[in-house]
Amino acid sequence: MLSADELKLKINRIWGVAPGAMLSLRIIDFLTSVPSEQLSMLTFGNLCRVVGKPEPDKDLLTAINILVSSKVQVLETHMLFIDDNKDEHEIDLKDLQETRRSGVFIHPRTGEMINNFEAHFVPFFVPSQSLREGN
Amino acid sequence: MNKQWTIEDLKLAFPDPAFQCRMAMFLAISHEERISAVERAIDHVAQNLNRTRQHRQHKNEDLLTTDIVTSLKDMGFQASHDTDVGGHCDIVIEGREDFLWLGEAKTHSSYDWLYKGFQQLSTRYSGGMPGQEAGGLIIYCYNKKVLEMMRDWQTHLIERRDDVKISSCALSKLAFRSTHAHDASGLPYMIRHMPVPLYFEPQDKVARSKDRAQTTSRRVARKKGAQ
Repeated sequence: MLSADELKLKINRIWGVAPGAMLSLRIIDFLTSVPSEQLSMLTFGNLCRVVGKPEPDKDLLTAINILVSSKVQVLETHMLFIDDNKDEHEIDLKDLQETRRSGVFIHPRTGEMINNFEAHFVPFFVPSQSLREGN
Repeated sequence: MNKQWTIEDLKLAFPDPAFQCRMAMFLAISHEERISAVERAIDHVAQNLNRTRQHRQHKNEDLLTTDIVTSLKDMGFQASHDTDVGGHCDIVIEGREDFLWLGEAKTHSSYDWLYKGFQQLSTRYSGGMPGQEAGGLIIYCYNKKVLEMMRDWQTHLIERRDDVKISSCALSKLAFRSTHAHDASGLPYMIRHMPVPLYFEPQDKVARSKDRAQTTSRRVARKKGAQ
């Protein structure tokens, strides 16, 4: 497992000082400075606050891509379904994959088919196992 | 209170393909979805290369490939050029859970040259392991009528390799896919064959200079007539 410093060096080696890479380093600093119980759900809104932006932009999306998709694997993507009553349900990733494939989403509690489910899906991120173990 | 950004909010806020490619990649939860995100990102970069092809007429393969890799990295992909994976592969995209997408870039000069790229990709660079079951042959085309060239390349490939199955590509009318059992792993290995049209021969100036030449010759003829 790589430590936070080693992860940051790796990002720096691959992406240099590109704005998205610099934001990803700031997010790693945040993740390693806050108690893990406060990191159970990082939404886009939370990450904007961490990097001091009023709303997501291209650099934040790049930073998230670096942290989630590359081999550094600092964050993991999860998905929340918020229904019309504002009740929140975390979606199992396998169900999410099936939903994307079929284009059909069934409410996990009521069994009702949800039209325009992307308007109810809120992505969020959690620190990966490797980040937790490396620090 | 923080705004809860839904997928729909993000798509509406960022309709630009480069944003969509980033999102597709970090929302991907399977290698299949990662392959799709990579292909969309490469298509987006290829569109940009085509749009600025007037500046790319004398660039060699390596420089064009470097442009692709730089753009992919700008989007947050872990892309590299000339990385050693059984040899120096042109485009390497690595990702979580052993994801590895390899691309070989060739400037089209002959179908044998493209076939060499196909063989490099499928027998030298890729191991065909799970998570590494897809790649791309990127074909820089400086000739006219890319669609015809791609059809001929497809015919050539089938003649050389009767074990290859061809299918169309839903993302682009110019691209196609080939699948064959990987020599090393035995798993199906899919290669997306995608051209980057770079032909640039504007005719407006030719027409103008022809017009000018005709006007001049008419003037000369009139002068001669007057003498």
